[in-house]
Amino acid sequence: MNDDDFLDVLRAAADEFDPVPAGVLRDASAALALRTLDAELAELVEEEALVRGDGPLTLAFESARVTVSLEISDDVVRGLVTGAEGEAVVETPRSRRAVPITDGWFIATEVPPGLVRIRVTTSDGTPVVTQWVRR
Amino acid sequence: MDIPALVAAAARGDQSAWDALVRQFSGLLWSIARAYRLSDADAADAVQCTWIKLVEHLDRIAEPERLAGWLSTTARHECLQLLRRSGRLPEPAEEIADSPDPAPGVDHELLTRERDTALWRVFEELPDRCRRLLRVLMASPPPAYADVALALDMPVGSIGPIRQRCLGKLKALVGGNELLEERS
Repeated sequence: MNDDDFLDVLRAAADEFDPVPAGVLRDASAALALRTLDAELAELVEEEALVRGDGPLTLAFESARVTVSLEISDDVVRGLVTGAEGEAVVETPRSRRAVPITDGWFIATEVPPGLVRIRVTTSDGTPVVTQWVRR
Repeated sequence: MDIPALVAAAARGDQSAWDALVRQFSGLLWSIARAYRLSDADAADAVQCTWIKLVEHLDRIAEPERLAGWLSTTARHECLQLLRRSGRLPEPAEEIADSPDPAPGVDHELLTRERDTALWRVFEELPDRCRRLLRVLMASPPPAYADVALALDMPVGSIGPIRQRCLGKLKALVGGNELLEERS
């Protein structure tokens, strides 16, 4: 059996013993709904992660009018916002929760693991959303 | 539709175009996550994060004709980030034994099943470097070497020779071709 044929046999074995789970395909299909056409994107400009896991992750995002600084520690996300007020919406691929912004600060607890992003609204009503980050 | 057209349509919100991309590349992304020995949950996480990053970048993909490369690179970053966060770099050797149980109830005749099961077990015991490369090459549909190179951060020119060496090693481990020659 030549190498190409052998690899085909292996590919068939992988399809049988380690196929892409149906749930992974469903989640991938659903991901398109997370598009944010309406919002201005606040891009990640700074990230400071501790290499060894423990300790907070600090991140800074900027759009034209808004800055969002985050400190993520376990399932707690603390944020400092400039250029926006009202509430911050803490979004994950499966959930969204609004928390009040008080004097620029907000805090969200029990944030699920995985990706998270923050949506805020400027004083003139423009929605701004940060890039996704892994908590 | 070709890949750039699918990307453009998906960026306009065309779900069927997006689903075509998902069908085309999910096998590759899953294989990359498994190449890095991620668990079921972490592999699912890495793949989903890769798709979400693509959604975020849909209208900013510089070279949509090279989407497979973009996805491969992004998947590698996601996998390494997950491994780093859980303090699992480099990959622990004990996970080698952690191969999944064979899925039940497939319409294969018993003998073929036994051969495939044996082959899969032996494959899972390959040294990490070989197992990693072969697992990505086993993706359906078969990936281009350029994308494999991005997924594993290896020079593209090294893939052919290492592939040959690793398949040779696997054939030797399977032993005497008894399992394999009958398949050809």
